[in-house]
Amino acid sequence: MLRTSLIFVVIALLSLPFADLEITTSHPWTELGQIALGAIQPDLSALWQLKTALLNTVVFAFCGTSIGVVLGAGLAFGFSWAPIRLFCVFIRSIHEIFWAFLFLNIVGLNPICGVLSIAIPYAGIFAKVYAEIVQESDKQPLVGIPTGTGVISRFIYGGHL
Amino acid sequence: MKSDKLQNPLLFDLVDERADYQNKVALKRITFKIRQGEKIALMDPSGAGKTTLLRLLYERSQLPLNGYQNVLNEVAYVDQHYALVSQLSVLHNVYMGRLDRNSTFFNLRNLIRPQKTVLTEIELILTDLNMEQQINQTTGTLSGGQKQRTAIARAMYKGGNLLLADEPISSIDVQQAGAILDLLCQNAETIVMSLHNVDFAMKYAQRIIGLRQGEILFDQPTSHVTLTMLDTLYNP
Repeated sequence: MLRTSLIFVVIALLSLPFADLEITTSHPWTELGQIALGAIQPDLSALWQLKTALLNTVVFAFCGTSIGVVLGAGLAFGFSWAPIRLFCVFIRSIHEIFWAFLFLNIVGLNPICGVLSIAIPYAGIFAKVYAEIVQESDKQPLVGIPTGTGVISRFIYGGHL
Repeated sequence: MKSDKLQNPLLFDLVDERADYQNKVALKRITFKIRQGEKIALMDPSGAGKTTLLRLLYERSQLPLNGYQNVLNEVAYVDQHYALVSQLSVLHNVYMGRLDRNSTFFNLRNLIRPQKTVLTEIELILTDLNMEQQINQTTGTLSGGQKQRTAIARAMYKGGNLLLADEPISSIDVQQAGAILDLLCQNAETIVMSLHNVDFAMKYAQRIIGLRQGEILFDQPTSHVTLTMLDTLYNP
């Protein structure tokens, strides 16, 4: 174990002269100094600009989650079907930020990109949560629902499909 | 009397039926006929046989091609465990008995705001059952007897010509039970119900089927049922 690690360190050191390394920041210490200074003397006037940013965050989150709820509720109906279940696994296993990177290339840096990248993984999460709530709810009341009842009526009263 | 009964249309004709309940044989060698207008009590001191038999009759009646369609338009079922939605009010649970008769839109609207026509009709039934005070209470908060009366109200609201009732008065006190059985007998033309109470079975049923270990021990008109028969049923 130790020998393997040492071999890797030696390889790394040997490759160092050939690496294409370049530090682009001209004055790293000035930059760090400014950060430290800002921590001591914050520019309170800039806080005002944060208002828009904060509002944007809330609006994006609200829109994204709302769309996620609607899509997730729809997907929950088909959750017993394996392809839908796998589709939900796929969309919720990719983090929002990576959905955002994907959409950035397609729709550009705009609200649609932000909202979609929240809505899609959350649709997968809500679908799973809703489907499990339905699965775990009491099946007994279905005995009391007449046989010819439509799917939606059956669902809103009996909680099952 | 007997010939008169024979003329009534046949609702069920079971021949050597068997049925399983939770992977165990609950019924075997079941053979009997049920004709329209009969009031039958099932007595089964030993266990799940009666529930399995009632479920079997219910499932048969729901099959699209059961051969009795012309006679059997609606079948109401009172579950032993009430089968209520505990989050919904008594009113909505009772209304569930007729979900199939109205449009989805009407059902949805009625869930949000109960419609007047529905309300008046259900209020009448609940008054008969002494439950009008609880109309807006969620069924999860009711006592056992109140839950059972809600389940009975749902079956009465559903109506139809056959009532299958599994221990419909098990949680109701003796004073009220008689009145409720009176109501049920008035409402449904044909009744098959399982009962524990021998006196009620003798009073309200015209025919008693005694089940033991999943088999029919006796199947007789009430007037022919003797104490010896009941004794072998309860004390083998």
